[in-house]
Amino acid sequence: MDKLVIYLSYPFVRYALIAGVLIALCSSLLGVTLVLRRMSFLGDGLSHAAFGAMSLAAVLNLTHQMLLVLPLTVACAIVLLCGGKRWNLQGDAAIAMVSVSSLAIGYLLMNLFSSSVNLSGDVCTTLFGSTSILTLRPLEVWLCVGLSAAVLALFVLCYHKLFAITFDETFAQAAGMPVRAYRLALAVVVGVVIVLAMNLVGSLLISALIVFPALSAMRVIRSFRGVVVGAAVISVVCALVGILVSVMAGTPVGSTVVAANLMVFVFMSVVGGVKG
Amino acid sequence: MKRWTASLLALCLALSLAACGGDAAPRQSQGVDADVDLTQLSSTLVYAEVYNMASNPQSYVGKTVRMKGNLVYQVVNGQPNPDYMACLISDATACCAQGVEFVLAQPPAQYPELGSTVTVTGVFATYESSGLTQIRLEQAELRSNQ
Repeated sequence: MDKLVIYLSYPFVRYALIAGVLIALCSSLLGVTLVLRRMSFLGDGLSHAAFGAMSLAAVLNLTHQMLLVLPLTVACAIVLLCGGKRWNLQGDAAIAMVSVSSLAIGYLLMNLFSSSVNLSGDVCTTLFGSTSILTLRPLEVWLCVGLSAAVLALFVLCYHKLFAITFDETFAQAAGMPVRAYRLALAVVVGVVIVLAMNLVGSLLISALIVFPALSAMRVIRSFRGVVVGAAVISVVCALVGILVSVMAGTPVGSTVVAANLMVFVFMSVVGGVKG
Repeated sequence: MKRWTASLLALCLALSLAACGGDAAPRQSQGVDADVDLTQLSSTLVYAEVYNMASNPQSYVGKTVRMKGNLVYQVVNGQPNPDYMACLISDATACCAQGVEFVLAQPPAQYPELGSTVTVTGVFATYESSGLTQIRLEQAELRSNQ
């Protein structure tokens, strides 16, 4: 306990906890919508696109990589969520194409034009998020707070409309809802959350942050509202526990957070099975 | 739903204010003779703190820092070159490493083996080299851990 108090006296640990909680909260809200729309792997595809954008930003020696990563990731999200029908490329095929192309081109760019003395280390940190959440600067934390507040505000204000679009988009459109606009807004939110979540768990593990809380909640809760709240609570608790355990035990942050989510999922599956 | 979410948002914003408080750990949480004692931290935090030192060195200048890592130095004519010595610190997965240069107050009678685990205590300082700000520990003491 004394050690925990000492660790919490470090500002970058507090920054990590704040940003981690906010990222987990936003990811869980997004996850419920994506899981129900059977687009669970969208997060994975977009995180790889973000990796490609990050590589390009590193090659171009940009001081603030977010200036390139965020718009490119949001653009990919819009293409995947809104442009599939237009270009006859939909669903998992489109996600797979964007995912592997971005990963391959990103790694190729970093190898050909590397400005880092430890290429493998930089790639490993970006892919697995071993310490990136602990190296956030105050400006990045405030950016995370601002973007998370915007995402949360969207969910609060448009909860009923997102509910309608998630379960029956055709009916929502027939009822006069601006479905395309909401789909676009959702794409932007997905892009933003993915870029933020890469700091917590890295590119390869983002799907866990999006999928596990929603699936865990669905094991025992039947209502949409209950699943949303349950997923948010599970995600925040797992992020907090994961970060604190990794800090105390010296384990990689991203993997520890995902392991916490996995344990909760197993537990909730058992509870759901017993409950019937 | 709106009340729940608004409450969560308010809690998160309140927590974010709790994060304010400067960029260095308080003296009283460290060892008696080191302002920043990295030997007491987990490997994950050590790497993060060293990364913090490299990216925000102004907060650490003048502080006594103790760290443990692998000793690396340049070998000239079969002898360690005291002008180019560093302590290499890896993260939890050992895929990333950050080296911190140090300048010894007094050269030891015998240098530890290259790559061996050592503890280095020194005063944090910065200097300019090729237009970049570099970090190092000055007036350093070197102790072998083997």
